[in-house]
Amino acid sequence: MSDFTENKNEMIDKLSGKAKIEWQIGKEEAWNKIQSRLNEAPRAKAIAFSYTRVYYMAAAAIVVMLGISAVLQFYTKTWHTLGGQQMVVLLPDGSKITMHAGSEVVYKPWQWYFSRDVKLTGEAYFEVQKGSVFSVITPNGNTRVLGTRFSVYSRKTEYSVVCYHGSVAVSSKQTSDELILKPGQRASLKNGSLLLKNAEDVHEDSPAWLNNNFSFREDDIYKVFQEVSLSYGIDIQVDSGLDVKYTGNFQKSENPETVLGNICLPLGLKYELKSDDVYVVSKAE
Amino acid sequence: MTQEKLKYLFDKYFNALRSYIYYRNGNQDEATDIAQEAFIVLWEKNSEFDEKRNLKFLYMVAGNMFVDQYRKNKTAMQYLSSLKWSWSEEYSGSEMEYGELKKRYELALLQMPEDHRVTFLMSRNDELTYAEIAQRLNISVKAVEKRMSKALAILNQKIGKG
Repeated sequence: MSDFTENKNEMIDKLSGKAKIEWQIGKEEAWNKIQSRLNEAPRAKAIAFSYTRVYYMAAAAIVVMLGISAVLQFYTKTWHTLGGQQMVVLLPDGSKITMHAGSEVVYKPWQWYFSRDVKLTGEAYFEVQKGSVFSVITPNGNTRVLGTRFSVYSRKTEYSVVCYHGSVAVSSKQTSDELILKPGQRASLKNGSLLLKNAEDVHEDSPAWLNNNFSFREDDIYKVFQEVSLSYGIDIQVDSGLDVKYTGNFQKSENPETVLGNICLPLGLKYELKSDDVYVVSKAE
Repeated sequence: MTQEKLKYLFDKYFNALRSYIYYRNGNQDEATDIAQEAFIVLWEKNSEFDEKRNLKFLYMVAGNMFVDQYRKNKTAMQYLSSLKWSWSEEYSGSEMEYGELKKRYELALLQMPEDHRVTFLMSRNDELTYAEIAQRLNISVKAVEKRMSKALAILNQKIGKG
């Protein structure tokens, strides 16, 4: 049987070896025909493949990409609030910043999905969508969160952060301390280092100013008047040398004089309207 | 690509290329025409000279041209009707036996699927290695092996009987 198959394979080998194609048209004739058509044939432009060329192309591509990323890097959006104003800023991912009076917020909208960084001076309340790290950068310190609600106060050298929901990490520029805040806790800067306090004044879900309230607790009188002047966009000149702390909660009224009265009276102070929107506060005689 | 390079490719591959088409359509004139056209297309495309890639391109272009023509004449040439071979005369056995074997061989080739025939003939007639066939037809070496063994099985069966 195997003999027989071997035989057949041999036979196939022999047969296939003997059968050839006899071309009617010779190779030379075929070439001549091709050659006669070469000159009239429309030819694609030869683009020589050279590494130099590729390097140039790569270099150009890199320059373009750098240019684009530079634009993405450096394009910033800035929002200001003047005295007496509040403003809500909606960020690209739906996070929300409510800016208190006299504040500034800067962020990079085209880079938002790579780094959620906001520069803040003044005071603002943040409602952050869940996502990558969200940083609030101030001259006094930074706050990092993932998705939560909190407010940041950073004016002059005073810095305080209150957490309303979730948890936030607060660090100080001067000492690089870091604190983790839970809801209802406040971090504030004292002599360059951060202090953690349970914020007894945090009863609400958001800072008092967001609901047009004032809320002070053992606050320096100068800070109190600064807040009032910012909220109304008025100028309050306070006599120097007052060493008074103030505690009080009240609603923001139409007229700043009601508020000034509320503050001044129990502390033995008086206020006078000096000119348009300029008040002078001094010790009552 | 220069004309010298084109001539080089022509000298080396033209006959194999037109044979490849001939195995598929059984028509010498058409096979030669298609192979010539393929070289013109390669010239027009004017890509860099790269023997392996150019060769693959020639087979692809020629194969496509055959399919185009086949589609146009579909009704006219539904089946491959004949493959003409010129047989060498020397044969040790009897004349009658040889004639019978030639007939069976030719018939078996016509009756087997085109892939098998083309692969078998590229291997036997053009004496290409499986790797070379695989490269030109743009298939795997495994596929070439499979087609070869199937072609041999068919030939075995058709020639062996009687």
